[in-house]
Amino acid sequence: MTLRNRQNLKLAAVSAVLLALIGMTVLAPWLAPCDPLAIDMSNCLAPPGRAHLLGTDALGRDVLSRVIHGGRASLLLAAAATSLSMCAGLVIGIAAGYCGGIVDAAITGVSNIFQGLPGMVVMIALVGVLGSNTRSIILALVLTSWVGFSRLVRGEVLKIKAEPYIEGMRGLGAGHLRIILRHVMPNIRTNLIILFTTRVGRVILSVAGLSYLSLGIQPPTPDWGEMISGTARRYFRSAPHLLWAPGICIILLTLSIHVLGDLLRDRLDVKQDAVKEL
Amino acid sequence: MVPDIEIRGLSVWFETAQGPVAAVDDLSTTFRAGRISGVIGESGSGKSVMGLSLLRLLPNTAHVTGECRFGKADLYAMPLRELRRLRGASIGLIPQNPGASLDPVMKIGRQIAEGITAHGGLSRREAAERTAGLLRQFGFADPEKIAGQYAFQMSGGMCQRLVSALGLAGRPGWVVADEPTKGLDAVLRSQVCTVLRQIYTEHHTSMILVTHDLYLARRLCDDIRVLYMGQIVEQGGAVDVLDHPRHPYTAGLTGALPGRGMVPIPPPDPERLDHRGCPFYPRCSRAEAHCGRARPGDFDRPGGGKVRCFRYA
Repeated sequence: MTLRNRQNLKLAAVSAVLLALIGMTVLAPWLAPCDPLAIDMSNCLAPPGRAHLLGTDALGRDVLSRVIHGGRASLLLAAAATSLSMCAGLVIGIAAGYCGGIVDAAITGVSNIFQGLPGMVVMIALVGVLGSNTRSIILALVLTSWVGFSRLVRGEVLKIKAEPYIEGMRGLGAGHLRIILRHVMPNIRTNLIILFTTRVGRVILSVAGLSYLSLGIQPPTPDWGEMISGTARRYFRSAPHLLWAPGICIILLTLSIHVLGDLLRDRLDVKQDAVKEL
Repeated sequence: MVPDIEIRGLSVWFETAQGPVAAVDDLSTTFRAGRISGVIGESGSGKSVMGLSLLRLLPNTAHVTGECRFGKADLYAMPLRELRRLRGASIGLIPQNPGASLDPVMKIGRQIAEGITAHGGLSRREAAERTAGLLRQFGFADPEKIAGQYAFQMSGGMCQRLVSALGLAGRPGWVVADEPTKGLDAVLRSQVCTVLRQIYTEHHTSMILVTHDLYLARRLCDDIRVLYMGQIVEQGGAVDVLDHPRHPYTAGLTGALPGRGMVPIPPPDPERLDHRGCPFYPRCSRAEAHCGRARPGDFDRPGGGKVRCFRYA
């Protein structure tokens, strides 16, 4: 099997897992066998069986239905927060790297301050002060993760700005915006994709972490992080089935996003692609 | 009508951690349109800085004073927005290091089209047609195939032809070729020479050729300027200056060629470093006592041109 075929196979497998997870959360209202919020106190902590494929939790809610619905909040938060962080980091990083001078010094100073703050503590403080809702969780996640993007972009832009082809383009009369859009951004996209996928995974874990501290998505809204922290924490010895499904979903999601980022990097590498064509 | 490029009193210095470093020192010269004008000198003599200063492509740490007349415009004083309209369209650039002067992730065809459409006014289809025509002119028999490839798939000679095509994409009247043979082997140097000659004859483009390759300068240039420590020490017809050098520095450069004995220019004499005279005084084998006390002016050179040496006062 050639390297390209192996990569295609990997890409197909990873995409299938990711699409299945996304599809499951999108189609949750139709896929879930029960209402994820319906409480049945007469059927608490029931083990997996015919009536409830993954059993029930401490309040008698169907675990399978909660798992199917549980990815919605995490995925939405992760996608929104990481996209916003990337956009902010991209603009700030390009401004710092391309403009240089005072702009760069000011942005680097602010970045250093944000970099020095412990992310989880800042998130806990922000969500604690602003209240535990989607907007404040996204704000907390963006404020703690834009620096990573801006630092990467700044470094890449500084390197690319000094490349002879940028001087050549300036010599042809290309303006700054044209150079940034057509020459700088395409040259940083692979690194940006890798960081994006890494961050999506990390944000999902952060949301799960916040939920574990009862600051993330609030009960009774089903969420994988909350499912692990809420009931599973208390009953993981007597009812381990509460932990498996949401845990496996978090692992599958973060792992498939990481692998997808890696494969996309390879796919977008023009050198690798062109060499294979030879 | 393509105007001349007239430089008056150009000085360039760079801010460094060790203090200001002068790269070009009060340089004045006129590059006549319709000719290939060579600028030669050792590495660090200020020739590339002078060439890039015409398009104001120097880094932010560079400080430029002086005047550069291009028709009615002063290239050093005009707003950057107006200068951008001249870049590529009136004065093109063929940068040094052709392999690194092409965007690694953009296909060749799109890059050339970028040069063509940098100043607007053309549809994508027209730009693609002109790209194919330009590639064909520079010896690419299958322009469609080349247009779909990347810079790293090209050989050194192909890259040189591509950056030359890119420099001419906007159909400029002038082109600054910055060290086009730097780091190339003999075969590639010969190819580059052919490409530059082709640019001059087929595109009727006036050219400033910045190089330390004296053979290339002799083969291509009509006139030549020899730079030493940011000053023009000798200028005149290319063949005459290189075959009958008058300034001791030019004589040293030509004498260091393999075909002329390979005698290097001596290093600076430590006892002569503290002086106020000719910049070449510490290394000059023909220096006299007064050379270290006063700076020579531009004197008429036997055979035509100017030479900055007291021996011709």
